[in-house]
Amino acid sequence: MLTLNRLALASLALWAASPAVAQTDPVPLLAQTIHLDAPVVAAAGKRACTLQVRSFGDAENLTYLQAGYTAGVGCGWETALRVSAAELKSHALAGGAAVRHGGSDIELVARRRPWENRSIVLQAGVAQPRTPARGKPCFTLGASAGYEIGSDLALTLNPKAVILKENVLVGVGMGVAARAGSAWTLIADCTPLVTGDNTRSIIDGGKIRRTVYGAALRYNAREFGDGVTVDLGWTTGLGSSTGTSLTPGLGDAKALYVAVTARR
Amino acid sequence: MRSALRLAAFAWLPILLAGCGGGSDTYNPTLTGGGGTPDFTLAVAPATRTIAASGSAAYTVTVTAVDGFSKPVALTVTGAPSDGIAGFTPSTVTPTSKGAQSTLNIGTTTSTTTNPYTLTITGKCGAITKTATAQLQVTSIGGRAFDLAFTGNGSVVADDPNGPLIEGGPWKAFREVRNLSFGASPAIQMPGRLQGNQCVVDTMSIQYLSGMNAFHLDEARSQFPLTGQQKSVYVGGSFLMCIHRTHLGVLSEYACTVPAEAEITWQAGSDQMQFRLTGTVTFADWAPDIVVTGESSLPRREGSPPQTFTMTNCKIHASFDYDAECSPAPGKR
Repeated sequence: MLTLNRLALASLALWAASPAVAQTDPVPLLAQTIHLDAPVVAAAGKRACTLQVRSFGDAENLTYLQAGYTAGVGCGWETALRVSAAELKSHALAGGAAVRHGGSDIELVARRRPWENRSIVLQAGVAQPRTPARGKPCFTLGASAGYEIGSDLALTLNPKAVILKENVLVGVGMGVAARAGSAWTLIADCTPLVTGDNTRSIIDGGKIRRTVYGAALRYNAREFGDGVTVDLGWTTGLGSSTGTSLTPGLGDAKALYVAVTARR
Repeated sequence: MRSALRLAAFAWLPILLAGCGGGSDTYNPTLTGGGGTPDFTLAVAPATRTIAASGSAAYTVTVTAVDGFSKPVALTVTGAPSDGIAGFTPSTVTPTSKGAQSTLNIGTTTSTTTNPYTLTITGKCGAITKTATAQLQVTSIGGRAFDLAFTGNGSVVADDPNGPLIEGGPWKAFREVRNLSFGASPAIQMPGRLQGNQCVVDTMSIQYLSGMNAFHLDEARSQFPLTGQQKSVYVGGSFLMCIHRTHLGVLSEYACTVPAEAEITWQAGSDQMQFRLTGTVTFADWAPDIVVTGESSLPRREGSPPQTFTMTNCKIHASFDYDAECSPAPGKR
């Protein structure tokens, strides 16, 4: 209940600061960032497909492949399916213990933009992790609100939660998108956790809490068609689903982040 | 079609409000190996404490996480004296791999049975339960251990907040000194023992008389140079040990002069000088002797002007067992 209250309050706080944003640009500023959900939904019949690669070094030392599919349903509704997969690995600790990590995650999300004149989206979903730590379905919640400052800068606030038994993860994602020319946009986000432990120490294996963040340069690849973007950057988050976007790589590992998104 | 999609999207939602399984783990990484399951250990120190009835004792309980254990552990204790109190501060600790500590406080009353007690400390978290044991020895007023501390020319004071240890009580006798230390500035700590069987003590004081009051390093220097190998010098002296008794308003005093020797030893190149004091106390009225030996370290400043080590602020700290059985009746000796 506390989690729901926090999400509701965060959403209400942005109500007044979220004027209507016209979504005529095929690559809007208020789009999904590295870890944050967009504060807008696709129009009815519109589709978006994303492929991502996150290649971690250091303690995580895994490559996560991701795919996402988003479809506008109409009347302010959107559904999204996100899939993430990586190998399973063990990071050895002193004393014979090890941190097991990697695995897969699938999340189905229903997103609703309840007010046409506000850049606020509420969402709820179901995730099915297949990770060393979790194997049962989880309920996810989120709200995303955006605010454009002029035509070249947009801010996004995206509180989100994964309802895990005895360890509810709640993060408040904050993102920025800044146009840097006609084809380039700088995107960055940061999601500190306010509740829950989202990773483990590579020293003693204990549960700890880490902020997830990343930054990338988004290229609007018009040569491949309108609405095609390529992101290149680095991140500490495992993925863009609610669960993986609240989970950093082991030992604060950084990943090379590449994403290709096509919107039709 | 759109309605069907909406319906499908929300058909998932009601089933999982209770949260995802998997205990309190994270979303992704988990801990394995090294014994597999996160666990904790429980330890208590010291293993044994001895207190007099109406006294109190404290134990330190350490809970240490193993394999990433990070849940709160609730602490309880059984086996404590039933008419006393027992509790932890705090009563719940969340251990880390370095250990988290709680203090177990045991309080007794004057009516607490003078038995050895086995305290069983239990740490519980979910299905994991760990125990550790410690001993508590409760002695009677007539046979308990107590500590004496002495500073300067003052009287011996007990560490017992209930007041003087002997005054007004039955005749007691020293049975054993567990720890006897003489102090100076800086302190000199030494183990020792004191035995007796017909001693009545209300207060005890020790006063240095001569020889040991002060001595100069240059005295030692005159006997051998401060070079080369390890050197030693003996400095003799004496001090007075007084034992005062007050019973039924009558003050008695036992005193004896204690010859003592100090051995000063240092190693060339070392900045520490070893100091050892030995002495024997013989009480005229009761047979036991005090034999004290001990050593300490004093800073040495080679090449500096002669230093004076003045035995001021003398301290004696002693722990005694005394036994009513070896005490004569009041008024007799």
